[in-house]
Amino acid sequence: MRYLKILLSTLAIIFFLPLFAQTKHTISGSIRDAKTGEELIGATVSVKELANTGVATNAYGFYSLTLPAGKYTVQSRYVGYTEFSEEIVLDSSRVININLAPASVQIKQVEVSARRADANVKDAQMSATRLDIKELEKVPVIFGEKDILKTIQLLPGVKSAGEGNSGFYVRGGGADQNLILLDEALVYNASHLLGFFSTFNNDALKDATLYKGNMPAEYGGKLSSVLDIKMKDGNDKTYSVGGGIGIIASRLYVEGPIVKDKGSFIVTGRRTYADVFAKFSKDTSINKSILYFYDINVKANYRLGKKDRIFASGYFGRDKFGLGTTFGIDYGNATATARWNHIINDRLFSNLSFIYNNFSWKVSINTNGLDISIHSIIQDYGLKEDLEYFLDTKNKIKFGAQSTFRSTVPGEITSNTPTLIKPLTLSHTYGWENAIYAQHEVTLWNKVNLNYGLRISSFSVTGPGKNFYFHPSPQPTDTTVLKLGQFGKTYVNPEPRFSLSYNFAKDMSFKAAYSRNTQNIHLLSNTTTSNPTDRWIMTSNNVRPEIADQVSAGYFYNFLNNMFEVSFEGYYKVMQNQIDYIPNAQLRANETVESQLIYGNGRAYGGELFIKKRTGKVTGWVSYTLSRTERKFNEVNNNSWFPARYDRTHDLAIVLMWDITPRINVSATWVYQTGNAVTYASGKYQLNGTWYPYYSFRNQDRFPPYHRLDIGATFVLKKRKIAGREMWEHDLNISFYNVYARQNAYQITFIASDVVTGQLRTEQLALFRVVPSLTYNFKFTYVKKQK
Amino acid sequence: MKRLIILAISAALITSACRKDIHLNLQNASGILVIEGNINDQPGPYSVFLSKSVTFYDSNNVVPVSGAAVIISDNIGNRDSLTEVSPGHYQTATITGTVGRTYQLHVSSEGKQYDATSILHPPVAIDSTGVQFISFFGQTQIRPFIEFTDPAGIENYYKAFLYVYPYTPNTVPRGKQKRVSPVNDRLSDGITIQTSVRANDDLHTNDTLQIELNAIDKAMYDYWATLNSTTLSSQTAAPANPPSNISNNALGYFSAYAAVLSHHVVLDPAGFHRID
Repeated sequence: MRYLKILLSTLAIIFFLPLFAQTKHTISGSIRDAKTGEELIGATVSVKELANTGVATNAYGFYSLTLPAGKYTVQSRYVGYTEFSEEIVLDSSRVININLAPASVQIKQVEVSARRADANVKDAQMSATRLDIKELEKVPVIFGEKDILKTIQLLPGVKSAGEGNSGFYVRGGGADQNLILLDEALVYNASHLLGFFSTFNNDALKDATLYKGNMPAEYGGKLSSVLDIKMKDGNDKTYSVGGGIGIIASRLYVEGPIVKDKGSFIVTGRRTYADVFAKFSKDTSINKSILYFYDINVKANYRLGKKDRIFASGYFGRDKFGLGTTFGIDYGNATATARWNHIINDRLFSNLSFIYNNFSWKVSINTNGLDISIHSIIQDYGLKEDLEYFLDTKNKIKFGAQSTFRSTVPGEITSNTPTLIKPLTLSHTYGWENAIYAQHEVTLWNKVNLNYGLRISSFSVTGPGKNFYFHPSPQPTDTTVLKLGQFGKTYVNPEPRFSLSYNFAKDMSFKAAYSRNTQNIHLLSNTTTSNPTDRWIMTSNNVRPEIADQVSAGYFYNFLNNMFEVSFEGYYKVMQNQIDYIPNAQLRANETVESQLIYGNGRAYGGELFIKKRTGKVTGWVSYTLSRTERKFNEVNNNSWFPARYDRTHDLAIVLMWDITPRINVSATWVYQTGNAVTYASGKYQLNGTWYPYYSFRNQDRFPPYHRLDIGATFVLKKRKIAGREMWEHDLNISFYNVYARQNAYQITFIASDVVTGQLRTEQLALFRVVPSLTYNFKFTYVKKQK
Repeated sequence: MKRLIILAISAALITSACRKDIHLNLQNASGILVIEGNINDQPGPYSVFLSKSVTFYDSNNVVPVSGAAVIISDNIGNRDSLTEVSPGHYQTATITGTVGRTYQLHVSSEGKQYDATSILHPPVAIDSTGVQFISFFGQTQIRPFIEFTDPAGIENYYKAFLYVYPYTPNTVPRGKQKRVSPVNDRLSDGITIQTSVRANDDLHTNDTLQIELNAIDKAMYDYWATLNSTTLSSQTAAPANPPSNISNNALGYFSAYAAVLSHHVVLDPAGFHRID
């Protein structure tokens, strides 16, 4: 807290003093959708009389604008909504809550960006993309399940983890280096069914922003990116029920007011039903098998008077897979967030959040009467306070603190036959992560937006538990035992963040940024695809915080009245304390798992081009990334730089969406990627009559290039009027994944093909040819009779 | 497990995963010395084979290495210079494999020296032999297994493999199977360990099965375990060669081990039965 005090008083001296020169008053309030009551994030409020004054609403729809006394025309804009305008005489501070009406349903559907049209050029923030949840619904995806994690893979700098996979890599970072937040709660495993689906049901989502590095100081804890997803608050005016029926899953949601205009709720659910078909099989190993997942999102909010609002939101999802009675796995996340918004005064907004999240898995094996079960949990309890101070039209200060207590149960084995399988409990681990931050957003000379800040993060190993020291031996050289409440090693890291934009011409800017990020939770995985049972470990005596420094610069240009958006960004990133593994590493059920790790460095650099057409009948984008990602470890390739597995030189995505009529929309996506770096055999040798592949250097070869075309179409069916009112809306979505049936390599294996000669061959596995899918979506809204 | 799930997904979705053989453009590394040396607690002679690695798409002919000096010695002063009985095949004359001794292999070939050490650990008896029948998506997998009691309080390492003798005289004897199951007692010290072994291909009714259990040292366990998990697995992110216990970057291994054979069991329509 002392740091915070010093920081704040310094900031106060620099920026607060000049303000007392003249009488000023504040307009504040929130901006909402007139139809649903949902707060609009990033809507602008400005006054006509003063050029370059304007603020955007924060994550809770709150704004505050401080101006000299006078007569003004207050305007509020949000793309896709009718403009609000009101003349006021500002002689004292006042609250103006604004309800913006959607322009019209038709127009809203063709809007590509529902935000301030020029924010991408003017804001200091770079390497960030705000995703339009509505736009996501148009992009064709595998199995027809709309998926935010698959759509972000079509953006520059974001690489897919593999065929049909929701995992992603950002600017050379690993899959565990993305901070995926759902209403501020960290989601440890954001995928279902080995990554084919994400845990995010589109029906429940309101807003999402992806930061590819250079994130604001309020975010921290992961190295390469932040995906900040916010759940819908629910309609506080009318009740509605909606959902969809697809080939893989069905969805249903209910939303409505708790008390009209004061509070609302939304409940969404989704479940897959592949296993329903298995029941028809005669084979007992199939008809007794289960394979499904489900997601439940719940959120409620209530306004307590004019200054306070409370929110409670939660997510619960699980995957269940069982093979007859012999094998079963069950895994999933649970998150809960309780928030309290408080308007301290008309310029100071506070949010206090209590956050809980948990990821757990359980494997059960039953063979010949032997029952074994293995389970593991990682969970966090966190408290976070964020304050936003709207100083004036040109200055905004954000500061806050976060504290997270984390614990893991790395693996517990229980067995009904201890004579064959010994029960085992690995030492639980505990850690305490803290951070304070402050940042200042300022506009200078009307042309430069500067955003600078500092985050100071700390991580402490805490008791109870055993701590091992390994260096330099693979066997523990020392062991310490911490009791409950005792502290082990503590790491403190200052993380400076800085970004700036210079608007040198109309709708044109140059941006530059630098940031440092640290990470204290690490996923251990030495297989080609991530597994739900992969182990998370915390920073410890041996494992140091991962650190990344990134510099980036870019050119941003909007033209034809913001119809087109073009950006070019370059970045260079250096990563320290990266983790890799010794050959045949034992990462499971291993008390001294850290003995299996090796540590090294990483670097990533590249250029990203993004061209987007945002409005009109035809919309879409082209994203191209030229990049390199390399790693260096003492133990690998003689300590020389080698490409990371997901190093792909070229990565191109073209997305097109065409509204042929207001009722028919077609879309297409084409992607091309250089193949992954891979280690192929470079020779062979015979031992004991069998041929074995010989490997020389890690990742010296390449998979064949990957490319694929997906197409989709949405038919908006006629609205059904019940009792003269429009209440039933529905549409039909058809899509084809991998239209030209390219056999993209998913796996290439060197296997012995012939028992007698022991000959080796190379076999390629492609997962999918063409995958068609069909989804029917509906929405039923209850409209009260007008009196 | 992952493979099971992928299979289940494919089955459930009736999608069309497809496998095909492809020809890759590979780097070519060849000519590395491969040493395979064994000594065990059974009567000799024992063999050491020397060959060279070849490029991946070369024919499957072994390139033997002749004219090398090969010596096996033990920790109590015995020393045996091996004789080359056929190209690349070197044989002992006098040395015997005895439990508790440490053996050294020295190879001198084409001006380079290679050395390896291996300890001959005591044998561990097989308690029982059986066969499991596991039904999986309409197919039945036949899995022969053994059970043995791990000596408590010490780290033990094993490898097990299968011999298959067809009952009908017309088929080609399939003999020693190539798949090796490495086992350790990291999670099962002092208790009964059940280990299943796999055949090269399908097993049939009337096949006679026998399992051999070898007590090996840690280096050899790491070798066989890495071979299975990292060299041959399609799932590993970083394929690598198994760690050889031979110096100077030779491929292969030198292993001292104690061997125990199980009873013979015969597969029959009702399951299996013992014949000795």
